[in-house]
Amino acid sequence: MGEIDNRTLQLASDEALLLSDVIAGDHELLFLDSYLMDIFNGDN
Amino acid sequence: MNTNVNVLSDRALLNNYLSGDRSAISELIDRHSSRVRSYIGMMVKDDDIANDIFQETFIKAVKVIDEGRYTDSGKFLSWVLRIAHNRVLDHFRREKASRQITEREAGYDMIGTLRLAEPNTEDEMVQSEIEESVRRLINLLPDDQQEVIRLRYYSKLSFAEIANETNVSINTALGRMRYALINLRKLIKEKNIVLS
Repeated sequence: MGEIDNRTLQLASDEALLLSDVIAGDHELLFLDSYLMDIFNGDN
Repeated sequence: MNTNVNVLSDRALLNNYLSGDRSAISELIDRHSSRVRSYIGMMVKDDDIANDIFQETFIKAVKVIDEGRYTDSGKFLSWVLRIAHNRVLDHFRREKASRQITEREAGYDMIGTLRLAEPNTEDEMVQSEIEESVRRLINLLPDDQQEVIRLRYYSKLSFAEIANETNVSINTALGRMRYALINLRKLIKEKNIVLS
């Protein structure tokens, strides 16, 4: 069974507000951020 | 207070769904629905249209999964966002065609030109080539922008941690991140890369 650890969950909630400053309403940047997060997901 | 939260990963939920647990797909959709709906809503200002596109997006996603054409590679959210993005593009094209409005009125200037591939079958070799291309483009960014990219996406650091690691203010770190994404998007478009 897969789990999402607490650190990941906490980071996600803390980061949402800061990420909104980075994205500033630009949906393509939002997508690119998600894309990069996914493709490097296996790098750790 | 119990802070231990056991949450199934996207992959686990998908596996459960494919094993016969119908509720698993509902949970998976619920998990990502606000982000997908927000993404669509940012581009399509009409709530009714955004809701329609939202429905179309997940209907398409579930159809692909049911037909066994989705191969999980840990990118469920970005896959669904690609579907949503392309459905929005289709909407704008229909709007423009039917009303003879300008591209700006149709929203083209907002949505840009990033067309996103929706592979029906995973072509792992092509996908890895695209990812490798994106990694190479990152190497073309200014050093400070490369650094924030690596710290955020490779090392999974928070913005506060990135600021601390690079000895800059949080605002500077956020600014570098924003410019890194803007510049990376520019490079992707220049190279005509279709993200998948």
